[in-house]
Amino acid sequence: MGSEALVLDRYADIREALYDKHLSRNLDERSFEEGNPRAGVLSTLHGSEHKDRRRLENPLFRRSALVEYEHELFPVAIDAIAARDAVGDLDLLELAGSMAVVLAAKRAGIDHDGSLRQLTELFWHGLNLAQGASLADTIIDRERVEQETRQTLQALEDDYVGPSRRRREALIDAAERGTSGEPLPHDLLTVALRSRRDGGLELDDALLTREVGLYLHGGSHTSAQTTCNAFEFLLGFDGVDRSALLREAGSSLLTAQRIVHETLRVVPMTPRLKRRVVENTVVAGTEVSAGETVVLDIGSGNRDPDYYGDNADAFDPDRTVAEGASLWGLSFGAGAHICIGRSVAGGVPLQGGEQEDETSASHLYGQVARMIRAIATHGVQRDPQRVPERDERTTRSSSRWLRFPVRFPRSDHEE
Amino acid sequence: MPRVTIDDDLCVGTGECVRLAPDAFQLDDDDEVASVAPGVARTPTEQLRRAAYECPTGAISVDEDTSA
Repeated sequence: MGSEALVLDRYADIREALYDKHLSRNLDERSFEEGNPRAGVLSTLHGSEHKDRRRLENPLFRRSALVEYEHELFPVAIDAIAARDAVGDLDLLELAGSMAVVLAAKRAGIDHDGSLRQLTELFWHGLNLAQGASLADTIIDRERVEQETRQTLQALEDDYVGPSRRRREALIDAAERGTSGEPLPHDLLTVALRSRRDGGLELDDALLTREVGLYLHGGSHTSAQTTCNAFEFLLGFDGVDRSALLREAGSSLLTAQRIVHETLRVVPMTPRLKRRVVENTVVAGTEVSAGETVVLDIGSGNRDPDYYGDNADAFDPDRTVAEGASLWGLSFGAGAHICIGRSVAGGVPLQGGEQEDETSASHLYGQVARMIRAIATHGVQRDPQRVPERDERTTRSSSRWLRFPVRFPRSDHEE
Repeated sequence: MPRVTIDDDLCVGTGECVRLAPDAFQLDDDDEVASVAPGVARTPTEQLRRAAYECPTGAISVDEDTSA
């Protein structure tokens, strides 16, 4: 019949659709099964298969782990890298990527030597997988993207995931024999390997590499791009002078966190989501039939004036939002497929009664807020000669950068 | 006090409920599925409703108490 897909663009309607179990994220096999790194990974599963995998992976993101990240890993992964590398002319996307990839690799279970070379290589592996994962939205040669994706997965397996997997297998063997004093790592690869041994989940090595690789991508690519999106505002690329806000971001983590949430709302990494109807249902008052597609316009939903006021289009980190709305809109999704790493990236907003005390050991600011503060603290400026370039290889170019040249002062580092 | 239930079949163990209402909800020994905790009785109804609203899979129900 060729009827047009139902498009939802109001916050409440999109949220309802995201909760509807009759709508699947797994759209079609051409996009998700053939040469796509998403094939069989958590984000595309549906129903009981998704539930089982998610139950296995959710414990990696418990509050206790996030607190450890905030207070032990972030200072090493973010502040130390900023102190070492934020000098002179460089690409903000790569700098932010090298920060984010440290944590993403730890969570995924990818061992590395900590060198800038390996961190950058891992970040670019993640970027290549991102291109492959959004194959449906690519506007360049599809076969080339598929070939690059296969090469990236092979390199990831040979250089990182394979050795990491073998090390964990040996640790699990030793733990089972009671001959190891080394605790098992708290990461995706380890829990997946243990589940595979116990007969819980059927995951072959290739699927494990894809699952781990997509974690690397999800934890580094989106954080790095969101950092660039935030600095598009903070450095005034939209024509508004925000130098005061930039200074505040360098001194206040709470300000940096509010900037992150508002950036995510105004510039969602995935502006449009699609869902396949797997069983006849009613979505936002409209009947839809199995096989049809429902389009969720996150970009519009995030600017719904019913929830974000008459100035919903404006970038305003100090905004208050209506009851029931998230500060970041629907940019982390909602429902069963809500972003598993949302609290790592964005932390948790202050709850009612919680004090704005930056010495608090319990508040979670999130990885991106700490990246923004570190970058702002080191005096980031616009590059006077070069302008940022969007990633025009994808229809999601409104939120994705290919290069984001910036300049840091050299005086602090030169004698 | 409202009646609070969790649908085990829907819960995927995100732990949002435990974060939002730590006295009212708990995760099982395997850290995979949430259940109602003894502290639910002293948790404000508004907090319970927030946890139910934020549950990503809609597994939590908070029903008005109809008992006398």
